[in-house]
Amino acid sequence: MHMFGSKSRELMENIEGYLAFITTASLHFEEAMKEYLQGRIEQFEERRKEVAVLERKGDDELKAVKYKLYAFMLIPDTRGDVYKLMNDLDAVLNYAKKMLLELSIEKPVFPEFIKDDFFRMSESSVKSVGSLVRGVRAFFSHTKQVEDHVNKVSFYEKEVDKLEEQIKRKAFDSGEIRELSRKVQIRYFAERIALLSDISEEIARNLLIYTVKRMV
Amino acid sequence: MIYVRRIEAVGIVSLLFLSSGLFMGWSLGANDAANIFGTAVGTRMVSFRTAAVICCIFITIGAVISGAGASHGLGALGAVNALPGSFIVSFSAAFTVMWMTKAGLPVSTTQAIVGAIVGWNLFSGYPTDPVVLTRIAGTWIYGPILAAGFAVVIFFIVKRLVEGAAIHMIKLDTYTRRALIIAGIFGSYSLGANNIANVMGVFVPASPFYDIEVMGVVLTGTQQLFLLGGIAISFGVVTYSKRVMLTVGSNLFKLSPITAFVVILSTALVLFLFASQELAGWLTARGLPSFPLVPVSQSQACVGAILGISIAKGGRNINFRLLGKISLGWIMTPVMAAVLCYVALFFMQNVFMQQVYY
Repeated sequence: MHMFGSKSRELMENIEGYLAFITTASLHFEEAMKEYLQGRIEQFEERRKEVAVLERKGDDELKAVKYKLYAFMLIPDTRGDVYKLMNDLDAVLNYAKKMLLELSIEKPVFPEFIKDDFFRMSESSVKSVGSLVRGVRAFFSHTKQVEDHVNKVSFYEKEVDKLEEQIKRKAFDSGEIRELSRKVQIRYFAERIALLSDISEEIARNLLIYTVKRMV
Repeated sequence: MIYVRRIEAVGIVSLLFLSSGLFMGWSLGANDAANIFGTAVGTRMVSFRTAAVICCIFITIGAVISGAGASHGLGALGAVNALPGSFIVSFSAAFTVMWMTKAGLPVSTTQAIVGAIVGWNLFSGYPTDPVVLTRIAGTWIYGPILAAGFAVVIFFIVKRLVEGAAIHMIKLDTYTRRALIIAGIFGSYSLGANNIANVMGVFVPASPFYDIEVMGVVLTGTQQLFLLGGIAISFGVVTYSKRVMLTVGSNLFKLSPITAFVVILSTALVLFLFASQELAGWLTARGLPSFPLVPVSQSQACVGAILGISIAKGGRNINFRLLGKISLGWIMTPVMAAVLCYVALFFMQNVFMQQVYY
């Protein structure tokens, strides 16, 4: 039997490290969006690279979590759920990196009347990620609080949906944007940013199931 | 060396007659150790090696130190006073256990041995004390009920502790592993103390062993008998219990490691209450009613504890079919063992010309 303070402590640190990377990456994502919308492209590129580095570090941490879960035979009854949860969370990091890369490549031009909606949308998406990470932490030690965090994730996801619809309507109703290709591009980026909160909500729903299974 | 000399003194014939008790011990070790560590090993919370070592050591210690109480209680039902008779009683019980296990029916070694002793009483003409019989048979009903009660109480305490303390899942995993080992030690000790009566109890009145002194410690003939029984149980644990543990742990009952701890502790408490002479003496000295010192069925106590957890969780998922099967086993096991014992005693006496009672 392993003693507490060695393998178990290592695994706890890996999980905590992984969650910290997700939180930091999501905050960088929010700042990067702000910088892009404000036209500070150089700073945006720096942020984007920072998110890419965090994503790589997150991958390494995730590998360590997966390996230790099975190699050290820890938490056998919840191992499968923890494995899946950690794996699903990887999508948040991947997605944040991918989204910023697409912005960097395509360089869409957002009209002024839509910028604030985009910013609020990315802000709510990041809030949904934050609530998800708090929910995951609660899953490990304060199971009764998980539902509260999951509800917050759903709340922010709905806010994002509203803003997404608003952006799309504004883009397609606008006479200022003449080319259909620009309208479609704006729609595309609205949908991509909204996807971050959709992913969070889906993971949060699974988290609720894992929590019920964890109840003594 | 001391043991080799004892074997020479005891004689091969006596050992031959003891073989059915050893078989019973092997069977108990193979099956009942799984009730202690089944879920823990099945879910890989405790390695089989750790479980086996704990079982072997503590079942034997429990048997040698505290086995006398329940054995005496069983002896009051019928003092089988000839070694060939003891052999048949034990053999009939062991055969019944084996047959019922093969038929897929839940079986209790306690009920088998009680049935076989009643069979011997009928054959030899010794009366069966209805008070003693009722006292032992009563535990078949209130043993599981008591285990269920313990399980409900312990379950709520553990639940409150775990949820209230907000322990990290991984820390909790470590604590659960330790708790399972401690409960397993207690469970093994209690199993040895209580159920050695089923293995060697019928040989006590006709024991071929004499008191010996080892490094200043006197081992009575009965304790040597129990030591032998403990070794037989350990052999069952080492050679066969792994596959039973994996079955219990992964197929039969879906217990979490924490609820498995509750089941082990509740079952061990029941076995301990019906085996501890110290506790009985302490209660009696204070004018309190004490528990009868008789062997109780560990399997049934275990099922009772699992039912207790189902009740504590809201009463869903209770397997009434299994309950029906257990009830069937309650009737079939003692009756079959008694009939088998009666017939086998007749053969032993009239075909093999052995005196089966004095």
